[in-house]
Amino acid sequence: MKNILCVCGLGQGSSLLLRMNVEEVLKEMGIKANVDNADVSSASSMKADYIISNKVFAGEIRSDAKKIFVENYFDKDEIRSALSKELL
Amino acid sequence: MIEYKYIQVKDAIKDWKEAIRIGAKPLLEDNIISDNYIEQMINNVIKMGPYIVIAENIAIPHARPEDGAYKSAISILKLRDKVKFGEERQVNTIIVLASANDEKHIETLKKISNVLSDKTNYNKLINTESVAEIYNIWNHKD
Repeated sequence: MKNILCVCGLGQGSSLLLRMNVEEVLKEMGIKANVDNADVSSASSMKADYIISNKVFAGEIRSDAKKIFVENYFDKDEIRSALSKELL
Repeated sequence: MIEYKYIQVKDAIKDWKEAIRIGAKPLLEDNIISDNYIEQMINNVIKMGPYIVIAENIAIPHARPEDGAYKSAISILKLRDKVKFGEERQVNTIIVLASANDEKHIETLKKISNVLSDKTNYNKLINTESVAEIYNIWNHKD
């Protein structure tokens, strides 16, 4: 199963919001994955196949994971198309 | 889910820092957050950039529970004139998130997610200048 990590500054608010919507979209798409959330500094040392975040953090996330950036955390269509491009 | 007195509508304000301070004031007055929590919300944006802009027009400033959040709650500040967060993002809706280490934190985030994932609610929220309408969007039973 793929590991997906949602990342924000503190791992407290926005990444959790993102995670909720990512989980929902994955469910709708019928994809099973482990979804977690973290702050940007821990994210670099965590195991993940995909990291989903805000492009503000593009330069800060040091990880081999494939990075996906989302503008609107509540736009499930945006999340869906970003995820299907990478995961399907 | 949100108290009426935690909702404010204002004209132009100086900058995003002032937006966070004014937006957070009702929570400070009710002892839900401390002065330090407000300063940390601002510092986080200075340190990490405007990542709290999580949708077009919407920012959710927040800090860590240990920065001084005693309960979980939100307050909302609507601005008639948009304010800049960073170079690119413009915001007219500030949802201050007091995130304490309690179960209500998750409940609060779920509510934010439910309200804003609904395009009708989202559009209403970013276009309204009415405290009553914001209150109704937030306290509508779905």
